[in-house]
Amino acid sequence: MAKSPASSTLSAAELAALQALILRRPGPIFDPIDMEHVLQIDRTLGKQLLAQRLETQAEVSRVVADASAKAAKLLK
Amino acid sequence: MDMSSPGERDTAAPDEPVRGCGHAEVVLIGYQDQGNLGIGYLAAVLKRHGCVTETLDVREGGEKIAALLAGRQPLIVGFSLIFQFFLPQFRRVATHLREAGITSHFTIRGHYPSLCHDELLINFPEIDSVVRYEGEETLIELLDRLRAGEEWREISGIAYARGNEVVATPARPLVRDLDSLPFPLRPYEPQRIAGFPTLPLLAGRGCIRRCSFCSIHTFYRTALGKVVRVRKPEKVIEEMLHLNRHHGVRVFLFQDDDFPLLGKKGRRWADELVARLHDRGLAETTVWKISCRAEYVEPELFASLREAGLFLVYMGIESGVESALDVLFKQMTVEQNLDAVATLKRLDIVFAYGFMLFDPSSTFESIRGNIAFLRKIVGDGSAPAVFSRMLPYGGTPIRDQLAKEGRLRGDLTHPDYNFLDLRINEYHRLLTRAVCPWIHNQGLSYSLSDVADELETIERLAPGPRGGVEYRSTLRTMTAEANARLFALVEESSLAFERGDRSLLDPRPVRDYCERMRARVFDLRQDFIADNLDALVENIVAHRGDGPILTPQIH
Repeated sequence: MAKSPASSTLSAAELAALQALILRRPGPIFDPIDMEHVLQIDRTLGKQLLAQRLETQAEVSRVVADASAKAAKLLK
Repeated sequence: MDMSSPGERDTAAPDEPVRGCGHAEVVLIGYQDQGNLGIGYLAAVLKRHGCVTETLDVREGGEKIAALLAGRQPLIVGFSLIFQFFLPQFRRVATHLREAGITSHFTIRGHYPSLCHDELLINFPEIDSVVRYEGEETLIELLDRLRAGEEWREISGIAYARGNEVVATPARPLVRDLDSLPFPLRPYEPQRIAGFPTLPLLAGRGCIRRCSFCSIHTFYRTALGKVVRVRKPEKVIEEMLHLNRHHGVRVFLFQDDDFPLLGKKGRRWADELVARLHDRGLAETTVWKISCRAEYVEPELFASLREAGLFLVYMGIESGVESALDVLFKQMTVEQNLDAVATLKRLDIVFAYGFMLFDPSSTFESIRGNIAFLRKIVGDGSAPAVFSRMLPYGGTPIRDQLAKEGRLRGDLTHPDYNFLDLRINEYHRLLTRAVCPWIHNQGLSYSLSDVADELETIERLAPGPRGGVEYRSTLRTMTAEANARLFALVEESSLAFERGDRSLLDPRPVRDYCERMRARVFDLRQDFIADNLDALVENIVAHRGDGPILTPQIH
């Protein structure tokens, strides 16, 4: 097939690659910011973070408990 | 060429490669979907400051990023996090990096870290500092302090943990003149629509309104300075020209929080932009999309924007019920939204919209009211039906209100709330599961939208495609049919649910229908594109600019 003027500047490999890009299924122009979908697929990660939060809270509680116990001891 | 000049670019030399530069002082990690302009601006100011920067996509995962940085100690590893939902993903990367022995200063920026820095620092102990609000100037100062081995904890605009306490230094003023910033670095391959190179850019930052569900205004108002800042039209055009002439970019996506069209000042700004687009020949060879409030959609203005290349308008319509618009503090009426849609249809401008079928004030009646509204605007198939639920983001007024009312549920990464009618909690859960193949990512509505936007792009950039009229008509008929079916599902299932009947929320028939329709849509699309392949190749090559036609196109 004869090449037209513009595309004749492309190598066969370039032409094939460009055609493949055009034929590729289109994706969204807008990011739908579809958080409900993210939440559905990301439960595992959410659980990991929750566990981390609980550990941190436990650590904070331990520190507060120790300090409170020491303060109480001083006041006695 | 003096690379320190604002907005100027060395067109002969590309930016540093995206990865693999082992001497990078700063590594920026974030989502690179559709280009991450936040990271792009940071990388650009760092480069102007003489800093070698490397940009990585967080989706590479912790192990891979740790392997990439193995044996290196960049001065700063910066995470760019916008939504709190992605926090675990970022934390996993940070954990991997620490485990791999990377002791660099870890900092994080973005809307959520800025507004909820205390919550974040407690839950993300790998982080050394939070760069709050706009990060360009703060990051430079942080870099300088770290380079010099000086104390960094006193600089403005950061937060950090001191023992069990979180310390926030005074907020740094917002960037007053956006044109003082260099153009953002875009070290990635452009997205393509029908083969046409596509890139994002900004005309301004900030939003003047105060929607209760949105953290953008809190983000800008909490810092000092003018909330809305707009670039000069000539600088916007200069950036568009650079991308078009040297890299063949034909589709521009303005990612502004709110495209600056408000009032007489906005009109003057738009008139100048339009005039310059025509003067520089961009109006005839490129197209662009914007996101804006529906109140700006005025016939004369938008006719002029369309002539200058506007092809797609995204509006946050959010609700078709007045009381919900009040709760969301949209400062808009249902009538205004209807008028905007009618104007865009008259002008033949494609539109997309955000819509919250569910919000904290939802009742079964308002849900059906919203469906009646959606039927009015897209019952004709002019756009696919989409909807979501309002989520209570950190830093938003509505989250505070829900907390005050004792309705806030979930946790940091999965914030949630109770509806006033608790039955809607369950209805929402079942409906979401049922319509997932329809209105969520990769769903039927998005597929219809993707191909319609692609067709519009083709018709505007390569007019008169073979079979275009028939293809458009078929897509519109399919969209109208799909929308009608979705609306009926919501209306009928909500009525049935109120009667105690959940059978209409069975996900299987929906999944089968959506799969069948999607297959049809993509078959049609492939046939249309195949028929026009040669013409598209010619058009793209003829306008490719002086950069390479294919990879790598580094900006």
